Amino acid sequence: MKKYLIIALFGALSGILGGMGVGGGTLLIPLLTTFSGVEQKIAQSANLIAFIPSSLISLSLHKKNGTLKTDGIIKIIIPAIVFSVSFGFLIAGLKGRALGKIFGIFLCVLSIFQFFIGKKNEKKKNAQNQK
Amino acid sequence: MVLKKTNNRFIPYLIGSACGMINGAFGGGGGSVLVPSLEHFLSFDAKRSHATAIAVVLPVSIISAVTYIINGNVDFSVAIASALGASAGAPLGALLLKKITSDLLVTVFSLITFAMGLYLLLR
Repeated sequence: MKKYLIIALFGALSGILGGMGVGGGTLLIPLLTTFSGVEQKIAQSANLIAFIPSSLISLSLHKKNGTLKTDGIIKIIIPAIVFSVSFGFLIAGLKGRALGKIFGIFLCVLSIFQFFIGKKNEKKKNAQNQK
Repeated sequence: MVLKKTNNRFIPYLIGSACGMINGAFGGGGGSVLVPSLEHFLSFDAKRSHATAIAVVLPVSIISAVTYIINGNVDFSVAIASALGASAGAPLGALLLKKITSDLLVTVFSLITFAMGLYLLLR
């Protein structure tokens, strides 16, 4: 039971970050594998499933605020679905540990990008505030 | 959609493909790829990028989750515990967003992500 409480807590943390628009899922997976001993692929499926209800909540908020525009979005969704299914089957044959290492590389690359994008946005905002 | 702003009509398909590969292979991270791509290549503003990213990753995640279930890579107790936590956290995050500057958060978050990535790679 304690294990699942901690997992729910990790879920909450990733939900908070996700709600703030910072990639929550990329944090939930390593938290589950590192601190709760969850196997990599199990952690990945948990993140996929956890995303469904929390994103429905966020999406309804966006719809209410009028920030959601869906025209043309199908051009992004269709290739995304095709590749997510094929890559899902592709990694099913990999061992969890090997997949974890590839995921580690992905996190490092992603975080470097995010760091510089964050810095750029900060500068942009500061420039706007000075005007 | 502001597709007219770009000369290349294949851009949305390419962005979608990249998002799908990442999200399918790693069970997440598709949104983290989508948001900056939509801002950079399709000139979406931040809020619209976030809303679009969620609207794209939601159907992708549902179908992707089915592939994981078919392959037997799911533990429903872990998934449900995570989902309950995340559902409670998401609206809290949206509330906090109004009080905390997200740029500082991005910097802190990227450093934590880098450390975790390095750990996963080297352990």
